[in-house]
Parts: sequence; C-alpha cells; structure tokens
Amino acid sequence: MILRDDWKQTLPAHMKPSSYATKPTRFTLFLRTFVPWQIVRFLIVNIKMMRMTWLNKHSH
Amino acid sequence: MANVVVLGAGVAGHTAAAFLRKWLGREHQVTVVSPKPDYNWLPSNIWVGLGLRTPQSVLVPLKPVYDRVGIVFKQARAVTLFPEGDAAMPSPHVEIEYTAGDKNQQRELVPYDFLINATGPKLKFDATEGLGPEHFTNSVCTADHAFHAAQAFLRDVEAMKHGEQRRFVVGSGHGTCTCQGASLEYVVNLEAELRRHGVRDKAQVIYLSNEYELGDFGMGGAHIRKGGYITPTSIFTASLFAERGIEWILQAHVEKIEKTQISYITLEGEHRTLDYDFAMLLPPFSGVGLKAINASGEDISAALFAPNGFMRVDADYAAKPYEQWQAADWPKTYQSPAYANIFAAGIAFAPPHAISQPHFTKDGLPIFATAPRTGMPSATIGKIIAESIRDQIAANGHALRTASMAKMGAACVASTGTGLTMGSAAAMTVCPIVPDYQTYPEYGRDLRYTMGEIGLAGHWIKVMLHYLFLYKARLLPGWTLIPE
Repeated sequence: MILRDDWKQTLPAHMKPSSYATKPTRFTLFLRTFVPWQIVRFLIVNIKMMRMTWLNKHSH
Repeated sequence: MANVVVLGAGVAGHTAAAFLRKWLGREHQVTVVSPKPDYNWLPSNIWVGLGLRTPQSVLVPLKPVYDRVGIVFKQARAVTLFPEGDAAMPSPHVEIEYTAGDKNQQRELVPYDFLINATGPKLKFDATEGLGPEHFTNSVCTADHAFHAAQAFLRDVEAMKHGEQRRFVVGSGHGTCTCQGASLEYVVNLEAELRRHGVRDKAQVIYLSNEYELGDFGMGGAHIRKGGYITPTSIFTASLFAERGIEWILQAHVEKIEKTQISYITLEGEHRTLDYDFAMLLPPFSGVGLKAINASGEDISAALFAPNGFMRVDADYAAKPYEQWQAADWPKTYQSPAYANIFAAGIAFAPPHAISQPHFTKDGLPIFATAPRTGMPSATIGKIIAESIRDQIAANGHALRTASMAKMGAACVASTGTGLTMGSAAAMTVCPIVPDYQTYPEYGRDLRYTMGEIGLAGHWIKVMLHYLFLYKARLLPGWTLIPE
C-alpha cells in the first residue's frame, strides 16, 4: 500500500500501512535477546548455513 | 607456463586469484589488476556508515597479501581487451591504466592465457540528478563513502540532541537499483542507532525503494517456514519495519534530488516529492565500461558485453516475457561464448534477465529491483572459474565446473542492531537464489533450505563472519577451511 507522504503525517497510527503488518509479541522480543535460547539458535542457524554451503559444493 | 589475469579484487576476483595461486605451480603466473589498493569486506560497510567501525577495519591492503603468496598485483584499471592480440602484441592481452604510484596514469599491455573479468559494478550515481556523495545523498558502496555517511549521520544525531528534528530517507536512488538488502540493513541499523543515542523520538525514518513489495530484494522475494506458517518475506520485512517504526514507500523511481527534497515517480505514474534531512540512497549498477577490440582493430564490445556493460557468458540472453523465464536461462560455467579463455565472475557477468517480475509505468519506465549477485554466490562463482582454469591448464580433460544461481543457495545476515547482548540481525538463507518453478512449482525454492529469523544469534553470526572473512581475505593459515 502506498500512501501520500502528507497523508502519512496526519493519519492515525491504526491507519498507517504498518498497522497491517504482523508484530512480535513481548515473549518473541524477549526470546530474541535471551542468551541461552540464542546460543541454541546460534548453533541451529550455523548448521543450516553450513548445510547451504555443503549444498553449493555438491549440487552442480 | 600460463598467465592468468584477474581483473578486480572484490569477493569474486580475490577468491579466484587466491585459489589459482594455491592450485597452480609456481611456473604459472597469477596477476590481479585492481584500481583500488584494498580488499573491502562490503557487508561491514553498514557499520562504518553509522560510525560503529572505522574504514580501516573493513579493508585489507592487497599488496602485502599478494606479495606474500606470490600473486602479481597491479593497481590499475582495465581499459581495453584485445582477445585476439593486435599489432603491438600478437597474443591476447588487456590494456590497463595505473591508478597510483610511480606509474600513475601510465598504460601497459598485460598478456594473458586466461582472463577473469571480476571488475564489479560501476556505481552509476549520474543516472539520477543530485544522487551520490558528490551531490546531496550518502552511500555505503565503498568504505570511504560509508565513512562520510557516518559523519553526516552523527552531525544529525548531535543536532537532534539539541532538540532539532530530522527525517532520514534510506533506499534506492533509481528505479532499476539492486542491493535492497544493504539498504534494509542500513535503515534498520540507523533506527537502532537513533535509539541508542536517545534521539529516536525526534526522527522520522523512511525506507524508499523501487521494489514492488517489501522483502523483494531483487530476487522476487522468498517464502520461509516460520511459526507454523509459510510466510513471504514481504510480511517478514513489514513486521520488522512496523516493530521499529520505520515507514516505507515502494514502487518508486527517484528522478531528481535537491538539497532538501527528493522527487520521485511511482509505478502509477504519479510525481511526488519527499523532504529529507539525511539520505542514503544506493545507485544503480552497470558494467565498468571495458571495451574489446579484435585483431582487425574492430570494436567487438557488443559481442562480449551486454548493453548494460556486463560481460556476456553462457546464459540464454534471448528476450522473453516473464512468464517464460526459467532456471535454465542462468549461466553455469561463466565462460564467454566469444572467447573460451575469458570468464566473468560476480557482478561483472551479465544476468540473462532480472529475477523479480518487471514492472513499468504506463510510459514504459522500468521500476523494479534488478538481480543481485551477493558475496556468497560471487565467491562460489570465482572459485569454480578458478577450478575450470586449473583443469584446463592441467589438460586433465575435466569438463568446465558449474555453479548456477538457479541451483546454489545464499545466506544473508542483515544486521538490525549491534551489541554483544542486545544486538540483533536477520539471518536468512534462500535456495536456490533464482527461483526454479519447474523443480519447486509452488514457491520456486526448496523450503528445507530457505529460512529466516531475527535475533541476537544473527548478530553474533554477523560479527563472526566479519572476522572470519577478513581473516580469509588476508590468506592466513587455514583460509581454505573457511567456506565461501
């Protein structure tokens, strides 16, 4: 959705394009910086990225 | 003895040169021609652009590295290719012009048996009036640009600390830009820095892009499996922006930039203006403008290069409508169809077409993101070209190595805030980069390898990659263990 910039200035918050977007809950935000959980995610994301590099080496 | 000449020392060129030097015997020569003295780890320019790192921290001086490993380094720009030789030198060669040192502005003919064109992009700031560091907007395309962007940003932060208000605009400076991932990373980091400086309430932050939808990134967006849903990156990105209070304007072609105002046209053809105090807008890219001359002295540039200046390789360049695009259009070996001993790697190769669906105004003005070629595929392409050349020099009969962007995946870690315990980044992988709707009819990609999440872990990975890849760029012991 594109709105005119001058409309944006006057629109109430619930009518801006961002009001149609999903937003993280407080629990999600907490998990994003909760160190023990993030250590687990660090390992998982690294494994996924290594799978990707392995795939790049062996898919051709 | 074989002469391999690599034009460019970015991710693709540096990777290719390093592997060639490692694999080829000392009787063979590897030469790198680059107009800049340093290797720049571009992903960290985002941090330089906000004053979080120095330019020196993202640069690796090339000469000491190349002297140590035995690569000949010429700080020069390539001017003209003579793939058949000419009267001055009958063998294939490239004319270069030095950009520094005692030979500054002197020209030289460099012979080659194999040539890798990894010259990267020309930053076309002149495509939009008023665009670029020499005019009114900032850039993070080079470490120097990023440093000056940081100075401007910090001046605005100081002004806001004294009660002034500011509007920050970040995104695409033209309707055919790519690299929206870098713009996204910059705008989210900028917003995080405004909060860290305690001035967020005095700032309006706007993302201005030529993308049709948020999260397009020039690759037609992607889908990720998350929270029990298969979610498009448009929602993923809108959520991030909504959370951070970043507003967005899409489908915009910036026409003109003045000191305090950006003029742009939308896909509907409506002309609009946007006042701003600070803008970081990326330019569109083209090839660097290499020319090619055959043995008869005829200009054969059009045979070697696409109209946008990027080098033609083994792609299917036949013009066809979006509905007929397919994965097989994309190159595999990156060998020039005109000369078998010339290859193009990284941004220097001409894509067969965009990845995102093209959109035009009713007057035919293109407004859509063009195809990105990020670090991971660029390095992979550089490496397989090095393997192909190694095989050909060894005459071992091995077929050319392949690495299609329609088969390989890419990982992207976009910083969204810094700090060891409070930082965050969006970690994403997509596979393949170019959607393959024949193999994956519904989403075009393998959802087992396509993921995205935001969190502190992503920031740790981003920091880890910064140090790992700078270590690798220095070609220090064990550098080959670090994947591309």
